Amino acid sequence: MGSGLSMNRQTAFWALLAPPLLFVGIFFVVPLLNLFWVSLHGASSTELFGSNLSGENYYRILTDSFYHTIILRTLWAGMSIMLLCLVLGYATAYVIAPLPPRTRLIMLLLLVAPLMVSNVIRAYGWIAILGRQGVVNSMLRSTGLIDGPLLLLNSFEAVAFGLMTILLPYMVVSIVNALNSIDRQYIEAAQSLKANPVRSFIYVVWPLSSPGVASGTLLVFLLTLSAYVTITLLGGPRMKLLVSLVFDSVSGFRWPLAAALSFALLTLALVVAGLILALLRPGRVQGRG
Amino acid sequence: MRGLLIALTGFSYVVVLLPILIVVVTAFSASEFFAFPPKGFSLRWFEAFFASDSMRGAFSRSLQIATIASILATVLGTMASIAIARRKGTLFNLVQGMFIAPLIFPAIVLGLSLLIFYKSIGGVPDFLGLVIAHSVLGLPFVVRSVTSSLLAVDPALEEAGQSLKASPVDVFIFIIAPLIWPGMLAGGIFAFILSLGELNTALFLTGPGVTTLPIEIFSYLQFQGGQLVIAAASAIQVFMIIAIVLIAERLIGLKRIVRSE
Amino acid sequence: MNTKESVVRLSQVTKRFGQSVAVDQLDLDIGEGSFFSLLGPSGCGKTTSLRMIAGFETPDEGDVFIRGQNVTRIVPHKRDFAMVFQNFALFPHMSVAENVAFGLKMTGVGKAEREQRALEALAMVRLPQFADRYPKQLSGGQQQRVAIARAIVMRPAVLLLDEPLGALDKNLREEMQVELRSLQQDLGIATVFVTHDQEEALTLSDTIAVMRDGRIEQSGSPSDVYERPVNRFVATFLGASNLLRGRILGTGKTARIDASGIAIPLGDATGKDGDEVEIAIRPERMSVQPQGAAGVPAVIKAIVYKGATVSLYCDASGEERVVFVPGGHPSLIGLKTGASVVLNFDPAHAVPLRSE
Repeated sequence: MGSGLSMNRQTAFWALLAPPLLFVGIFFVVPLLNLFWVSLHGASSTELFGSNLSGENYYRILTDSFYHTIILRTLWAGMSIMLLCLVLGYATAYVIAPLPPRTRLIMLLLLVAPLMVSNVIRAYGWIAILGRQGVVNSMLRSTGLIDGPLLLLNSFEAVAFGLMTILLPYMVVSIVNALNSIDRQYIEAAQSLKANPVRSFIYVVWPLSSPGVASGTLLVFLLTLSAYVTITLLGGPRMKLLVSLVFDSVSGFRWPLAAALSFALLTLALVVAGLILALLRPGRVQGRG
Repeated sequence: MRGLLIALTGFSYVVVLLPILIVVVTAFSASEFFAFPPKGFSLRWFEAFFASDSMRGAFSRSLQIATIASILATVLGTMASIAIARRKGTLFNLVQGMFIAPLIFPAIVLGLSLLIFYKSIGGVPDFLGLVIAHSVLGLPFVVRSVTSSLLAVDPALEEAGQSLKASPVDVFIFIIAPLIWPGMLAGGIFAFILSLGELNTALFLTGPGVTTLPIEIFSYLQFQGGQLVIAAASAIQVFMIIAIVLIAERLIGLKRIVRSE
Repeated sequence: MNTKESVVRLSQVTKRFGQSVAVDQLDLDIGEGSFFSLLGPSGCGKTTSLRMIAGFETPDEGDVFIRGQNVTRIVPHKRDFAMVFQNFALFPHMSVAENVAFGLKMTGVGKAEREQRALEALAMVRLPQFADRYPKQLSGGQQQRVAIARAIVMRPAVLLLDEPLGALDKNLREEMQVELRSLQQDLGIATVFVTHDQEEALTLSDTIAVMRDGRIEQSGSPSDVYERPVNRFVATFLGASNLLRGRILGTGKTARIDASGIAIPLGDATGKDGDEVEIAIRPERMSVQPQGAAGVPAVIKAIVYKGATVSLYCDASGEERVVFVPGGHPSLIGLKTGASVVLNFDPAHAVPLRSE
């Protein structure tokens, strides 16, 4: 059969799909499987990992109370950041969403553009504001309110607050999108059924915006888990979360432990994602039960 | 109630924008150390930035990596989108999910897995390793934005092209590409910006002498304290992003920029 | 088979989508210059048949010929056809002139010639002044004309029309019907037209093929198909029909209608004495008579005024009968809902149907 046959379609499909599929397969899926394989081994002083299969890394994470403390602190940090983002983000989205389209876009751009700036720069900004010689301390000192500098950094609170400001735009954008996709007729229908504004919010707006809330909280939590640089810069050497342990293990060349900690982090991500979806059930307004 | 909402909104904008503003303003300071408001205006820290080999090297390396990675992501992502945009079924959802996954996947896990993978296969040059990592991370942006552009194209246009004697290649060049290039450009720009600021995989994959600008800034902050040359480095990145956003606004419109994040 | 004269021929073509058969052993033969309509309800396989001529679908069995060449396995862009799509499918990023010249560009026609020919084609659809506009700046009717110009400029062996008038409002649709028909006759291009609109098919076609479940139920000239429907599906899908029951008499040349006793000629239909047969009469072929006249007694249930005609919905011993009377006709005087009347018709207009 010559050229110009309709089986070309199938060939074209695979010619298009194969390169990206191979790329993602080789550089995303395979490394991940390999990481899991590494996590199932003991340490070795000469190789990447020891020769025997063992669950010792996972056993250690599950039984050592040091890891428990860190995991709980990670969860606590994630939850606090998530909640802070939710309150601020929902309020902001609620104000932005009804604005005229052009104004809304510009307001959103002011929040989205900072997302493009590297987190290290945004964390540096908070160091400049909250550090020993930072804006806050120098202003307080010049007004004579304090003598010595306040220590505002290197704490759990500093990390939670800083990360919250870094991730907040994700929450706002998700919720604005959800709020804007709500048909105004639903709210009018609720009002026609004698619901006051508070009730129509509780029974109509909030449930219908749940897909946005779900994707926003999910994104914020997942990005918290990875935010090593922000945590290190704002939290200082002693404020460690799970991600810090991964780095510490890598610095100590304990590859299998680092791998196992990565999977602990992934598990945490999956569990919390599952909880968020179960709690908010965004599917019910997206037509998937 | 209304007042409280507006106050919270104002607070949101302040905490998101203020840190960046402070850094940019400080970069023009004339003083040796951080002070706010800055004492005097000068470009000395920008001069210092370009005078430093390591900073300048990291900056140009970041640009190179971002350029190559975003082009690679755009090409691969566009191919993938064209192949699967209109396909339905569990298998195609899975494939699509695989392309989108790096978007929400904890990036440090990706970084570590790539580092160990590179070591397992006998080592990969740092530069190439970073390009690959940033392509994987940029791919979802391209797939998402090209797919939505493709779905907006009436499928009958492709058949109309064929009915007018256009070969599949002609159909792509004359019909599909002109209609989806804003999506490709938006995806590519985001992949570029992401690569420029990326930390989580770069932390693992940069090596001695081969760092990116964000990692360079990070190690300065960690080990050398508050030299204002990092404010200049940061300001340069912020200005670049502003320039890119302005150009993108011209080319593809505000809506796409906001939606792509 | 007279492949010399036929422009498009489908031979025993079958197309399945999963379990369902969309087109079932279809034979079609479309002659030079003829306007051929595929008419049927949605899902009858008419669009699939058209798409197989274009090559957008490949038959599972059977062959497709264009001008005698077997094109079954040939990709669309190498087949000799042009098509007007349902929603026009104009390229939004090209001007009207660029849209019309696109096919010529793809076939390597030089710039000057293709601009010239595009303008000629636009003149033919009376839109030469819109050459530099973009599709979005045009009304639906104008877009439709550009789509037609884009197709005819190719001087194709066959023009395929996929419900091209469906996207237009009613008045515009009628205007376009007339225009489309005269354009097609002027150019003499063999045309295959897919529609579910019976009126459109009757107005435009040389030949109508009524399709159901992937098969052709009947094909012929519009008046043939309308006046002599072969079965109940055709009689009720194409226009309205009153269906009466009858019984074949004696030698099988006539049938007697159960309700009225009127004898009607059977024509080609055959059967033996006593067989049941279904008989169709068009509502406009029935008449209302005052009580006492010969015919079927009935009671008027509803009178619907439609301007040019008046529809009478009657009950004849439990069966609904419809009669269309021209508006202002004398027989309408004094008629009210609930009135008893007699329905009658000329036996020559009664059509015995083939059982399905």
